Amino acid sequence: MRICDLSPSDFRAQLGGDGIRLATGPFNCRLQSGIGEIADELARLYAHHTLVASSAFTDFHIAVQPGHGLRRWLRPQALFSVDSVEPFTPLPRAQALPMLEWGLNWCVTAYSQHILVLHAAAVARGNRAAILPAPPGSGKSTLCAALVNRGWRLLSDELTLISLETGQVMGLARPVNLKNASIDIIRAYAPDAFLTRPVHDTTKGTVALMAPTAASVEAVDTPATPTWMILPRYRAGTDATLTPMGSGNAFLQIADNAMNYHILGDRGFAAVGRMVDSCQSFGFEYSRLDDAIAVFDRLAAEAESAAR
Amino acid sequence: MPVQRYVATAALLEGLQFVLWKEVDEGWVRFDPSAGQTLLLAPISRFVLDQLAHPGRALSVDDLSYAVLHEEPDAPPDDCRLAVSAAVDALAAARLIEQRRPS
Repeated sequence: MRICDLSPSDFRAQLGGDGIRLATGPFNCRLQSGIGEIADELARLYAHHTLVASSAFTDFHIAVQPGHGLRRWLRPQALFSVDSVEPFTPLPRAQALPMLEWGLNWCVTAYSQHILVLHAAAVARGNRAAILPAPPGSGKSTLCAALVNRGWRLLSDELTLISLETGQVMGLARPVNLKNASIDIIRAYAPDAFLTRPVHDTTKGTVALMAPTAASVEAVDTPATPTWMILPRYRAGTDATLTPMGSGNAFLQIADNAMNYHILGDRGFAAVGRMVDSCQSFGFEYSRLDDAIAVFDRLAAEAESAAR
Repeated sequence: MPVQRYVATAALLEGLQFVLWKEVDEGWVRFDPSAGQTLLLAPISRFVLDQLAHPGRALSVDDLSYAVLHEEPDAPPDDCRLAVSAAVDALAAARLIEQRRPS
C-alpha cells in the first residue's frame, strides 16, 4: 500500500495520531505531526512511497509538533524531535515541512554508520549512477531536479548512500530541496512536477520541495553502480563543458563531501577508493539545463554503447 | 651555513603502521586514520616520505635528490632537485616531516 492509496482525511488522521510509517530506501520512518497545514503537501511529496506495517522495525521516529504554551499562538513555532529527543532549536511554524526534511537528513547522517553517506545528489540511467557532490550554491539540486524530469531516476538529492558491502548507490528517492531562483526555474522547466509552496526566510533563503517521480520511488530498492562522479558548477552564460578529473582529485572531492568517511576509517577509505575506480570523474560547468542534460544523456549513451 | 636536514615528525612515525595507500592518476592518496588526514601525494613526494619515515633518519635535499637519481639515473639532476625541494615543502606543510632541530 502506498501513501497515495490513503484518503486525505486518513493521511491527516494518521499523521496527527500514531504516525505515518513509510519506507524511504533502506530506512523505515514514522512521521508524526500535529501541524495540520503540512499534511496535504507531505502526502503529495511522498505519494508513491510504500507504507510499512507498524510491526516492522522503524529506524527513525520523527515528529514535527507545534510549539508549547504561548508559542502555539505567539510567533508560532515548530519543534522537531527524533525518538523524543529535540536536537534542534525550534523554527517558525511556517518552516515545519522543510524542517521535517532537514531533520530526516540529519537522522540519516547521524545514525547511518553502516553506510558511506555523501553530501551529494545521485541520479541513474539504467543501472548506472552519476554522483554529483558539490557545495551549496553550485546548482546541484537544480541540475538534479531537471535530470529527474527528463528521464533520469532520482536516487537522492541531498544524501548519497554507498553500501560498504557492494559499493553500490542505494536509492532514497526523497523530495528534492530547491532554493531561491531554482524554484521558478524548475517550475518553468517541469510544469508537471509537484513543488510545495515556497517557504520564505529560512536559513537557506526561500525553499520549496519537489516530489520525486513515481518511477524513481518505484525503483528505490534497485541499487545502481557508481559510473560517473561529476562536480557541477552553474556559471551564467557558459557552455556545458565536462573537464576530466584525475582519480586522486576525485578521491579528495568524495572524501571532503562524505559525512562519515573519517568515522568509518579503513572501510570509508576502501569505499571511496572503490568509487573512484569505478567512476569516470569530471568537473562540469553549465548554464542552460537542456545543454547540461544533453551532456548527461551523451555520457549514458556512450556507456551503453561501450557495454554492448 | 649548515646543511638543513629533515626528519619525520612524531605524528608521521606514530601512525605509520595504520596508514593506508591508494594509487591514483596523480600519484598516491595517503590516509592516516589516527590523524584523520587524507593527502594526495605526487609520486616523488611519496618517495621522499618513504626515505624519511625511519626513526632517527635525517636527510638533506641533496641526500634525497641523490636517492632519487639512484633510482632514476636518467633524470636531469637540476629538475630532480627542484622536484625534491617542492616535495619537501609540501610534506613539511602537511606536518609529516620537519627540519631537524639543533641538538
